[in-house]
Amino acid sequence: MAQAADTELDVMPQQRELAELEDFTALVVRHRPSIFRFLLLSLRDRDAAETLAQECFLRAYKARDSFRGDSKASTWLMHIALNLVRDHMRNRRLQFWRNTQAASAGFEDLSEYVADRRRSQEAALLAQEQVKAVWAVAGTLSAKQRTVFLLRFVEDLDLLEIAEVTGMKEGTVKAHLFRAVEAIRKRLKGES
Amino acid sequence: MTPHLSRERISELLVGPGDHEAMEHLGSCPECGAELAELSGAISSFAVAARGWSQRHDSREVQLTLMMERGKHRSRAAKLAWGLTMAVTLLLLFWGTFHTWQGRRQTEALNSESDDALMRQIDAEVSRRAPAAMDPLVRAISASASSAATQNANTNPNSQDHGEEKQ
Repeated sequence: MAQAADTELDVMPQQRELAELEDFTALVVRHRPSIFRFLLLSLRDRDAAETLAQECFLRAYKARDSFRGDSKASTWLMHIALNLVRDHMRNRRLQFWRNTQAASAGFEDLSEYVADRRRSQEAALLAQEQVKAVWAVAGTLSAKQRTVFLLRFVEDLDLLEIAEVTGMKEGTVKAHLFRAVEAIRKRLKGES
Repeated sequence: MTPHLSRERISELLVGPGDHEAMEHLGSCPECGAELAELSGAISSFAVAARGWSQRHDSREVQLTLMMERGKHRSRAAKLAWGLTMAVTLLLLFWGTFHTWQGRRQTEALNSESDDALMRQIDAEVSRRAPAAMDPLVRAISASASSAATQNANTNPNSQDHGEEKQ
């Protein structure tokens, strides 16, 4: 009887771990694209984005017990990703590499993804020019403005979710977003 | 006609919901509407391009591994669903068989009970010397027989002497 109880105690945590691992794999499958995208657009460095995406999920896996479900899993993961971006930016040793990578990452190609058969050639060219302009402005924004801009317009998070991810107040998020949009508008109008 | 929206207000409209006045103006002013559409269109195009670009740059190996993992999960889920279906089917079959068997057993028990009751009734009937319906006849026969014997005895009192004489 006692032996059976011991065996049961040994098996139960294993089963629990496996079940959580299975759920976690599904979580990775579901959220990795957006996490990687946010990291790539923030860092403009594919290798760093891949490394940090893995690190993000590793950290999430280690801290999964502390996740109480108060917020969405996507918000929780994005919060971890943002912290990684901040750490990466602070790391002075990587500063040189970041600049080098950014220069050689071929981001000019970004405008190619705008191609739409339904559009006229003229409209497609205009859209490509606009994308280039937005991309160029995004590179000049402050880290906070860029983060808020990407979360709002690329990841489709609402203001409250962005506030949760960044730890800012909703009003602050709004202010950063306004500045980012203003910078883009000025660039598009040739005001800057 | 209200004056055009300031450029800052147009930017504000992209950040959050605009006030009633601004929205009303946008509905009636094609110039302001076009300006807002241009700005939001540029940002939307950027978002679309960024998503496509990111997807292309995402490591194929990672995607492949994740797809395989997803497939593994799907096959596990399919196996689990199949197993559950089989278990439920077996359970239903077992329950059906058991139910039928139990019904048969109950019918048999009822039949044997009625048979027993019938047998007991027959035994009771047979064990009687005569059927109840014949009782009056039996009584009448036994009464007439006893009266005939008495009459015989009275009418032939020398029957014993005759026998003695013949001897």
